Amino acid sequence: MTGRRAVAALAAVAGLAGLPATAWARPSAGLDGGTILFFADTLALVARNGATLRLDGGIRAGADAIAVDLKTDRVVLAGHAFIQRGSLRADADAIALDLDDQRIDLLDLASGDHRTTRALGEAVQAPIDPARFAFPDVVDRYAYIRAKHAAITPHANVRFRPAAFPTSVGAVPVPSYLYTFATSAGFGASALPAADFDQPYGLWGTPYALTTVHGRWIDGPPAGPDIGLQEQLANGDVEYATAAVDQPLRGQMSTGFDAYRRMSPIYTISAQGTDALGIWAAQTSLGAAFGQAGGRVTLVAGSFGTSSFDTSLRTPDLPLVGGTTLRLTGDVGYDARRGGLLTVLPDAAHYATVWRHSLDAFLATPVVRAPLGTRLSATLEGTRTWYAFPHRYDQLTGTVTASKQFSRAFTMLGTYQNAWSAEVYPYAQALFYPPPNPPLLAPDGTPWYGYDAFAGVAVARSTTVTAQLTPNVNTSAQLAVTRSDDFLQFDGIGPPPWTVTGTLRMRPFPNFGIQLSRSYAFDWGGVRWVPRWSISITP
Amino acid sequence: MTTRRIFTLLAILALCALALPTLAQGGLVRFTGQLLDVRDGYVYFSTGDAFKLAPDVKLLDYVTGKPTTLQPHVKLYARAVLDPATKQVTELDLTPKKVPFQTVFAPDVTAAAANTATVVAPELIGGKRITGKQVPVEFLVTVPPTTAITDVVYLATDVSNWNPQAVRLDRVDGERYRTVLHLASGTKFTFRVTRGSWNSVAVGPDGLEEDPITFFVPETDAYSRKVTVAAWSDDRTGAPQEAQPGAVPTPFNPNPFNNGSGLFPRSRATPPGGLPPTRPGPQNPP
Repeated sequence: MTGRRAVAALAAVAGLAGLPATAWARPSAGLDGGTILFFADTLALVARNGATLRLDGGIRAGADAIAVDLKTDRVVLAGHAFIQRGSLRADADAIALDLDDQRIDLLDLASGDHRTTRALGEAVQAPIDPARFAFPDVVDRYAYIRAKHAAITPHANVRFRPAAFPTSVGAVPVPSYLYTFATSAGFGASALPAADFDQPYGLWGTPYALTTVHGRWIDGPPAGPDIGLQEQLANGDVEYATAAVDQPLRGQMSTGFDAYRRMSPIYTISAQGTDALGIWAAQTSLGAAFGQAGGRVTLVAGSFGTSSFDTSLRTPDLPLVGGTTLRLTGDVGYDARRGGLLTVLPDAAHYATVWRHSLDAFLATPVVRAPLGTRLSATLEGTRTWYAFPHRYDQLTGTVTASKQFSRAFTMLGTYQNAWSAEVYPYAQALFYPPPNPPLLAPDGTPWYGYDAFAGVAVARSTTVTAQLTPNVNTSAQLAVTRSDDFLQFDGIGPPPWTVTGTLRMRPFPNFGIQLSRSYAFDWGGVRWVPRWSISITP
Repeated sequence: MTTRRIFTLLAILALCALALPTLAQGGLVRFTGQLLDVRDGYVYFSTGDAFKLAPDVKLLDYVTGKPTTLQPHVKLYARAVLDPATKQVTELDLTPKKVPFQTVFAPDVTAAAANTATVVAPELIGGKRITGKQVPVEFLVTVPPTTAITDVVYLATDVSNWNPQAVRLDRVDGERYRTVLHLASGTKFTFRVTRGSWNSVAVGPDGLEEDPITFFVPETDAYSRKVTVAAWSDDRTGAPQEAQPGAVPTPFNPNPFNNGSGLFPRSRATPPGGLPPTRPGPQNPP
């Protein structure tokens, strides 16, 4: 319970720390017009029909059209342009100014370019600086958002009021919409659990912080709608912290946090925590890079008194013959559990912490051309883990991938993977893997006799064939069929014997894309098929 | 007769189209690019531009500005200096080293543009023409061999607030993913390659996160951007092994149903009827 409280407290502290930062943010420019169009690809705003611009310091400007380049914070006012501050006023055919600078360029077609500042002192003649007035043409029908008012926070976001998302058959209106475009990639981190549909809605934002509420759908069980609240803090690409609370309408609330900091070109540190379904876990990790080799130290703690520690070192990809590469990784660490890990032993308490070390070899071939226009590649990975107890764990995984491009639009891919693993307890195998008594029950309630044959050695065989059709740049369809043939034989647990997934990506409107995915797990738990939807909308 | 009129009309249109670039060049004074040929008194560049050579054209070294022994031929780079009055090349500066494409206009044209009553796209004067036209842009991403065949690769961009599934790419073969976007020329953004979440983002060969990739759509007819992913942040190679096939509880694998990687498992559907009861169960309960 202490750990759960710690995770929840850290999530709450991170969230509360970010709230003031976002709440204090104040837009530095306001754009109004009969029509404001926003273009998501170029981050451009174009206002027309009585376009006016309000800036800090009581500055007001207007023109026939106002274009704002949010990438460069450049504003170009064109046609009967004016800018005024109190009683001071300057008129020109075009005006260029920066949202984060004092300089103002006034272009008069008769007398040339003049330059002044936001104080609107006397303008002085200056050589024309064409780049100041450059603005890419935009095509109105590609506009992503249409609005009448836009509040701009440079390098962070624009709030549109009211906002409409135009399509060829109408516009989807919302009273207010916050579009964020902060350059810090740390805003991509999320502490929310995965969902089948997730639509964020920005509440407040600055270049360094963002508060969002998420409308979500979890395809269960239990299936149903879900609301998430997330607070994000980010500083360039150097550090970020995010905390989230997720509340399904049917189900238990979960919390989480995620933080990262690049301490130097060599070292990074990260911390994550989650508390869901009554189980909590927290992890902190130190990463290091030495040339192309690397290492990592990770400490994990979780519910039921469990914890683990790992230190790993790996080589870079070592070139072998024919473009084949080999990577070696060594790992030393421990697993711990209060009350003991080896619960079958009478002296289990003596094994509360068990150290281990492992060696991993990963071999990868390059992609080579094969007959019939196919391309082949393969990987092989072997791992052995030794424990400070008569016990070892071996794993060998081989994968072969083939692909053939029939045309520019149609491609087929196939892969076969065989993963063999063995838990070996010398002289004590029967003790750790006896037939369960009474038998384990499958999800449909029938005894799972297949488990009786399990003595620590398992094989997972998986074959996937994918057909992909991309008739044009805006449309693609994909059909994937996966066959799993495992030992232990599938009996309601593990991957279903057959899975079919169809994915359709299309762009019904110039400014909207949609991706639909429908998958069926066949013969899973005695049910003929289990369908699953996934939907996402992209600008 | 109708066919002749159509041909005549097409010929006039073709002549007008050919004349337009010449008219637009106006007071061009310097043009830099890669040579294609020098023939019959003209210099041809790989961009398709051609200029008439003056009878007394001088061949100079591009760097030193002194006479050179280099003779103009294909693949060399050259700066053609034109006389705005005669529109002929009076000086050709040659170099075997690659130099950037550049077009420079006479200052009087700049002034003329400033004083003209018509609206002139100012970016034309600077020689960098960004019209915002739709450019098909191909993103071709080469992934590391640890990428599963069923994985989907996305681009996360700053303009989509780093949504890790902003732009989906399609598999091409065992190591490449591809998509084509129609973007306006002048579009600028930064992006990262992901496998759908921020826990599975592309990292450098040293395993650490790199800065996002900056991307700009130039003024061209089509553009291709190739990206090679050295590794994924959640590559499990060398990580502590989880039991496979992931369904067998053991003392060292107390959470065998975790089919994700590390601490944060992926969302997983539970079989109808739920997971098996813990009792009766194996003698090594999780």
